[in-house]
Amino acid sequence: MMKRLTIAGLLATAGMYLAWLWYTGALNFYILPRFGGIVLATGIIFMGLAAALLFWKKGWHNIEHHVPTTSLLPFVLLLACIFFVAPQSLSSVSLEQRGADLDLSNVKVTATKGFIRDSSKRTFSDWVNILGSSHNPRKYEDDAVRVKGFVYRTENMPEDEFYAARFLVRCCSADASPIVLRVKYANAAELQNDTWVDITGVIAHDQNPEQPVYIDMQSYDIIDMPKIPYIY
Amino acid sequence: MESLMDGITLFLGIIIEAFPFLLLGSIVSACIALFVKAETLMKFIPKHPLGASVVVSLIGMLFPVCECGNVPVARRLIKKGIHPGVSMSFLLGAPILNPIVIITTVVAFPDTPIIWWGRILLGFFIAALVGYIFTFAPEDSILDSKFMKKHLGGCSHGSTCSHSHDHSHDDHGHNHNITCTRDVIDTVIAEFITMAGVIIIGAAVAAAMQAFFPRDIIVQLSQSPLLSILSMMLLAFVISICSTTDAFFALAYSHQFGTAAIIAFLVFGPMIDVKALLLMKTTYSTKILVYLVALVTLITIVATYMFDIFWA
Repeated sequence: MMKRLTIAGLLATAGMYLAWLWYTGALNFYILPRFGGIVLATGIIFMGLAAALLFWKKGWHNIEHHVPTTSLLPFVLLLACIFFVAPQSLSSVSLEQRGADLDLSNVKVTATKGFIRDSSKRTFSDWVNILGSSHNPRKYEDDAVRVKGFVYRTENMPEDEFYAARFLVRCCSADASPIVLRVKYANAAELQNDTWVDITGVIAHDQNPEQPVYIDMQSYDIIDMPKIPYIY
Repeated sequence: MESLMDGITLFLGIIIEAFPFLLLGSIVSACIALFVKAETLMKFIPKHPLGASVVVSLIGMLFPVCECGNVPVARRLIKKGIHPGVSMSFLLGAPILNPIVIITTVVAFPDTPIIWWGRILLGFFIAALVGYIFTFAPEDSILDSKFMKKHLGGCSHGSTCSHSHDHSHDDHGHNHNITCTRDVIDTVIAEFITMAGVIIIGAAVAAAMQAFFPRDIIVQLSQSPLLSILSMMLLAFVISICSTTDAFFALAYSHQFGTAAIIAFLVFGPMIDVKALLLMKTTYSTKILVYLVALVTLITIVATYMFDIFWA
């Protein structure tokens, strides 16, 4: 009976946690938004299974005899993460671990449909696609830019440079790949890593061999992390 | 501390992504257990081990289960009386040959058909061949002793008893109604909880490896075609991402690595990775898993390297 009740408790907790993540939007830290429905459905099924375990008190042959008690132990780790760690997105530490690829030519991200004439309305993803697919990215020189990303700077970078970064996620946070746009700003060194900024500037270029096109930042605002921090 | 926090985000990301598929696999497994008679299943499986391995590896095309959901189904096939070696053909084939994976691979590489054909054909070849090879091994040595004791009554199919061990309820003449909701729920939960415990450990290991082992180091190994293949296989093993989306992940590396290395990533990853190995350990013996990893690794390296020399 204890095993039945323990499993009911675990399923109910996992189900409520998934539903809570979906409801609060924190699910976006872990998985692609379009999988939200599947995750919510899984959470509801978990709660339904837990309810069934509580409703019918007898007849759980497989659960009582075929589920090893040791297989319940790893759930302690899961419960600890659920109850003691607030949901959060990946940080610049992961960017450093994974390494930022400055070549945008092979990156495909979901961008706004159609060509946006007003360049200042193009999103981070739009610029990644435009600069990555263009044979002559210099033609966008002097185009107005307004993008949101988090700050990433290494000690080796020139003092007037930083990266505006986002993580590209295809399914879940485990497959996140960092995408960066180079930004020049006289006081770049004063910006802290992981600070989310709304950047206003223009497209410019120099002789940097890896990413010759950069954003010449004219102003910036420090902002809260967007509801969907990753790009897809 | 920040690495630990990112590690937890990675861990929960893997869990949240894996649980729906694991639940789906457990439901498929329960349906096979309760609604498919062993005799009916065996009617479709050829008697010859090679034919059986080929057919079972293709069964994956019918199930949308990735490497998280295929172990419960493979366990169920064994309980229904399929040779454990042949069940490995399903285990290796299903995560590559299932329809969702094929579609996402085509979508990720629309202009490079060689990648999706390479993935499908090499995946099928390895699944059928490895399953066939393991049919020569004694069944007792393939299966984990705890699994055998608990689910097969301690005997393999070819030794002390020859009947299948998992019966739909009417097979056994029990008075249970096979459509009974509680029976389905009982089987689904038992299967899910057993596998979920393992997947939590697998996700924790995979997340820790990602959080504390720089991915850049692996990628920098791409000095030669052979090293490229090896490094992409190592990357696939470490990151343990779902086969339904790994093609998009591989896309990001397609300008750094050759076609052969990308195919190696797409074939090896769904078959062998950290969490999949832990899941397999619930059913198969450690010794056989060592052989399995060695065989799949060797065939993937040889096939993709040959491809690189003669084709790419």
